Amino acid sequence: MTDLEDALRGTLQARADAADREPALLPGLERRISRARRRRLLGSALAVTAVAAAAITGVSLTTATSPHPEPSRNVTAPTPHRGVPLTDVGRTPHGWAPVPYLGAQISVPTSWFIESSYSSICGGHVRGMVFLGGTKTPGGCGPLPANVVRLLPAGPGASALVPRALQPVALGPSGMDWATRGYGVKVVAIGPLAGRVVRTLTRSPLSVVLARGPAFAVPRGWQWHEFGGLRFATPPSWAVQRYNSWAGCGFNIAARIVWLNDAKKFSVASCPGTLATAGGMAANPGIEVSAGRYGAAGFSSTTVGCRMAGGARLCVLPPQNGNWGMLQVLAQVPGQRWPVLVQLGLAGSGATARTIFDSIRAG
Amino acid sequence: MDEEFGRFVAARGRSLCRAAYLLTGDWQSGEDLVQEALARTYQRRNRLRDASAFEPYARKVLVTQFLSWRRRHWHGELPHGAVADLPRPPNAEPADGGLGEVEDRSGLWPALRELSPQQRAVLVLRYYEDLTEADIAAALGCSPGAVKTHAARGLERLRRITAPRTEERRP
Repeated sequence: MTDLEDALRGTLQARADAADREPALLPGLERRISRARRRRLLGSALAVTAVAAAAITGVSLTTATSPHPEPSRNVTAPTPHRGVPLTDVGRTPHGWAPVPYLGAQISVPTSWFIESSYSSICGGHVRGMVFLGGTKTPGGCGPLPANVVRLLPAGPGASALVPRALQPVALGPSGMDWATRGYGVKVVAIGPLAGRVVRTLTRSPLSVVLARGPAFAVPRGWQWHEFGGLRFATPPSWAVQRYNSWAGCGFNIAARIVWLNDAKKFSVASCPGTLATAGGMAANPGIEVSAGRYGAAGFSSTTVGCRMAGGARLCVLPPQNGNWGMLQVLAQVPGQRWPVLVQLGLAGSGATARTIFDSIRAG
Repeated sequence: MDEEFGRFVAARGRSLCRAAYLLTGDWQSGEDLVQEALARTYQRRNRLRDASAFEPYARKVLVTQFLSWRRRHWHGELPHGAVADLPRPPNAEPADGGLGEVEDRSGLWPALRELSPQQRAVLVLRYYEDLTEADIAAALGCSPGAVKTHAARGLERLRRITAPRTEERRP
């Protein structure tokens, strides 16, 4: 035992003794237990709603597509946009929602649960669950639903966010798992809807934004913003909202909002729960720019890659909170004391997000 | 809530709060963390073998929740360099409810806040809870080797952070 270890032991004991007081645990605990019960009931209600909706619309979620291997087919590249292929939004059927992961994206019915390192949900009679990465099956949830999809990194080099090439989806001989090349993702799908889910595979909007290629030109009529030492363009219909307090919450982007925050104050907020279904977690188009003292507070300095853009150094952060529907970028602007955090919603084909990203420069 | 679990909370809640305080550095956040851990333990209670398993399970959830919160909530804790030692008026209220009155010449307490959540968790479990490396590994869901690495790196960082202050005190 070294002096430092002795000192640490003493410090921890002294601090705990000094802070010690009778905790008021029970009232808050009762509330949390009730909330957890409600959440489980909500899961059941969602599942019932989904089944009812399916019955009404005539779309049967229980349709048993054949688990047999289907003929291999190419995941054809969507129409190139100035040499950069886009996310094929046509692969997402009506009533389904996209689920991006690394460079790939699949779509599943909106009621399916999404299990990630950030969120988990279970209970009820949901027909499908999607596990992102190595997320484990949540405990106490009972048996898995009929449809289970896992999106996993596909071995060496799989962490690359940009697919190097679009390649055919290789259907496994068992009809149960599909290794996709080029996306850096392995898809494992079981259940009656497995085949339909795998056929929705396309590249993710994140990979569109980060793909090599010429910058997307800003369309005429877009609005330009100058904030936090940055200049960037957004679609004309997006509303601008300004804030000055960084509340420390953030999972999704407000839809079609340009959210400008000078983050002068830091406040701890009680973060609202996210409905961890494919529909509830679907990415919104929008942008949040947080400058100032707390704008980038708490973000890791680990970056996926950096580039210079019109005098600003833009560093892409690894996806946080298990959220692959949002691009987070730290911008270092000459003359600005604090880095600026830019969060971009990765919805649709990725073209809008790419155009905004390519427009960012020092203002 | 059933009676048995209520007794467990009454008996061990305070001890859990002390550990949670050392993890979070703030009593209120610590209580919040403990409530979350207890709520999850309560949901799981029927799958635990008996009441004696409540505490190990709650401690495991406590640590994993702490690490998870650190990922989810974007904390605004930034190292802000040296803070000037301003004299405090004689009758002023202590800034942190009296906790600042604890003598900490070593500078270890503020230095702990600069460690990564994993390093801090490992050091608290090892030097406050006196858990073995195997128990810490089980609580964190990692290998004993990773625990050793976090502990060694955490101690090394503490040593580096506190070294200048130690040297300053030398005659």
